[in-house]
Amino acid sequence: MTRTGTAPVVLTVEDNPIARKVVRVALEAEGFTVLEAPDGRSALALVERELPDLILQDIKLPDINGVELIGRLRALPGAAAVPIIALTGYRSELEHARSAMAGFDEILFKPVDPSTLVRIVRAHLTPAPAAMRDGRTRKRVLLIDDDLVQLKLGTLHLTAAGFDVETARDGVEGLKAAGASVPDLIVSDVLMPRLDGFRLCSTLKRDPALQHIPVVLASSAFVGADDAKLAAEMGAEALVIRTPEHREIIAAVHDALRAPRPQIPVPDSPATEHYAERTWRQLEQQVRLNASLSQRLAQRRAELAVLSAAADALTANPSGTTLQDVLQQAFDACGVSRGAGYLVRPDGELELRALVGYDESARPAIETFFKKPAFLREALSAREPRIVVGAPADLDAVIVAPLRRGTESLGVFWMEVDTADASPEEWVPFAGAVATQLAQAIALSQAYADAAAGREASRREELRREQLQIKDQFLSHVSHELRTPLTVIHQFMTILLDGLAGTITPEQREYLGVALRNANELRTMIDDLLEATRSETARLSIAARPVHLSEVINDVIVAIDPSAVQKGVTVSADVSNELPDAQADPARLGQIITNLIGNAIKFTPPGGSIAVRARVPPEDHGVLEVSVADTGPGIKPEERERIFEYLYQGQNAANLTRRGFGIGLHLCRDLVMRHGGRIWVDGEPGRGSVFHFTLPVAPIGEPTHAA
Amino acid sequence: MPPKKILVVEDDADQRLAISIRLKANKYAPIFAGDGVSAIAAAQREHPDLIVLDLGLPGGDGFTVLDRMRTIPRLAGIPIIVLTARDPKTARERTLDLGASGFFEKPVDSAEFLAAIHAALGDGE
Repeated sequence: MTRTGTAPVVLTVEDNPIARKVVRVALEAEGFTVLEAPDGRSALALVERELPDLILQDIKLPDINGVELIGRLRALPGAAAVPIIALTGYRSELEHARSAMAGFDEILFKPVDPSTLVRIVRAHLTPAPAAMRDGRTRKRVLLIDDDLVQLKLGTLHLTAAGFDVETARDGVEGLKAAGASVPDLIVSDVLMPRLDGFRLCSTLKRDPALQHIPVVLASSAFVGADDAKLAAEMGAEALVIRTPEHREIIAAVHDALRAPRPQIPVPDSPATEHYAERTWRQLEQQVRLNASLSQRLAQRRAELAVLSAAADALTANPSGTTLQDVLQQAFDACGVSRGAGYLVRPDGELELRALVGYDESARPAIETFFKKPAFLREALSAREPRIVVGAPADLDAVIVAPLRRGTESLGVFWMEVDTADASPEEWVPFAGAVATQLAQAIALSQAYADAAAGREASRREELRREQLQIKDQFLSHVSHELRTPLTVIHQFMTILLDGLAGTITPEQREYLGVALRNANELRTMIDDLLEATRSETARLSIAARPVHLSEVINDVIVAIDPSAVQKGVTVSADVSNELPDAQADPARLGQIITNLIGNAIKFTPPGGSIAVRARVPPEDHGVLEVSVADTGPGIKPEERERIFEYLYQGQNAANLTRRGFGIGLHLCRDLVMRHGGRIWVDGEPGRGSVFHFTLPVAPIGEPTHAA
Repeated sequence: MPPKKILVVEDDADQRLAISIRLKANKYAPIFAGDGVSAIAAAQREHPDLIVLDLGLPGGDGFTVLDRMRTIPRLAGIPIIVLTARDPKTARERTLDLGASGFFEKPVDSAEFLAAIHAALGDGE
């Protein structure tokens, strides 16, 4: 690693790669050289090799506890003077206090905005003015609070404000400390066991050795006018609200040191009844305030972190957002070190999709939640996050929360919570907030994925249509091209048959007849091909109306009879005039019947017969059934479905059929189905086939049209 | 009475010959044009009794020829019978709208075709 010029070197110790990158980018942009360590061990190794000018250290690291790490870092040669700034997600104020005691130069809460980070890093790299380091010019403040957290926070802020701070854990201890060290000023909490702030104040003010020490009382609860009046009666300089920044306390301390209040006679104790009530009220207010504040703060931080992570991930890679990224960000922001996320697969099973605070070797155990998958399943069907009692493995306490969008269960996640400073119950609303945000992020990413899939599907559909269109255009073109020479063949054969080129012999007439019949068959096939291509793209339009079946069938037979006669096949129809009308497109119906009879002629040997029948089947009075029976070779049962397929060729075309079925039957099925009917074939193999199709009976009352 | 003159507008020589044989066998005098421009020229020069027009002509579709024939006063009264190998469904309507006397899809049934010609010329069979 090379140092470029005099650029300050900052080591960032952070296990989250995204957070690490943010720090690196922010600092490098400002000319810092940034070293990175993903865990405590590599940080120690790095510092041993090359002493950085400043260390940014995540409190939560996978291998070494942050407080332990700073101790070990400081113990390295030359590292004692290196500023070490802690980066922490919201954990608790106790955590904060522990960190403060561990000797961090500053504690920053994540997420830290890059410009703030740069400013703070710069401030620590600039040597403090000499006066600030001169202990003799500092005022000594005694800070009394029974709340360890507040004690540490207060120490931090007062030290930062330039005071030397001495602490005491309650009023009694505070009195002792004051007597021993005689500080320049006392800052005391109001609500303390044994000796509260008011009593402490009045006791101090009646002690000749200590009564000159100004006392600033601080309360976390709302301070009313009555409270301030009581504080003044007790001889306090001020009663101020304690905000997290301690701004009011520090201002009051400065005021008191600059211009102390004249001393007044102080009663030995407050008026009891009045006082007790006030103390109770203060206590209640404080409990309420503390609870709601910490919850709100925690939730807000987690929500922000999850939202920003989700937004970042989605922007970067809309369809590839992983639960891992989002969960890691969320946990990191709220100081949760271990947990996992599972999503519901399409088959309903839970799949482990995010693993935070564990390495890959733990995956199999986490997949089943340490062989207790029931916890996950129960959580999945639950509405709210719940505490898992008797958490497995070495977990402290676990909260399992469902990820839901409306009534849909998307998945579940669990996180280990530290019960040292907060009860698991306090984490429940917090877990709920994280779950809500996660579910939204997942839903959003799924919506992106769906949209992408939808676009893909419509692109494929478009392509398919295009290909279909090209195919149809090609077939249409080919069949038109085929038609032209066929027309000429047809014309000249009829010219010869009509004797326009001279008299022909009966034998010549017979042969020309065979040629003409085949030319006509070819034309029918080409027409079918054309029609079928049209039917695929434009979808043949069906203009259904009531139609007399007997008329259509007779018309078809009259038109087709010459080719039957030529082949020596007889065609007969048995269609009663009493049948109800069919609801059909007469032209299409003619096409269907022409195709079926044409096929029958094609496959029936000379001397055979074709019979067309129509009836209302006894099992269904709503339809008409038309059947065309021939005396051809018949169709094998296994082929009876397939002959209706597009361009199907018989399996044994050589002996079963002279030619393939082509598209005529496919077209028939298409047309029949679009009339709302069905088509099928039966008959005995070797004794002919019977084609059947149905059409709906026309509604009564509609006028009948001749076909 | 001299045979009636029929202008056959058809680009395919084989089909021209086939139609010619049919027409001559029925005592008509066919004359020919292979494209739209010469068709209009021939019609103005020869003033035929009837025109048989193939819609699929090179260098301009048959509809244009049909339209031109109908807008030239000297030719407007000449009956025209249209033949086509293409998409008869839309062509039929359009052709008849443009004033054609008959419409046939190829291949043409010669008996029907001749019957239409007889009818258009007022020739009894």
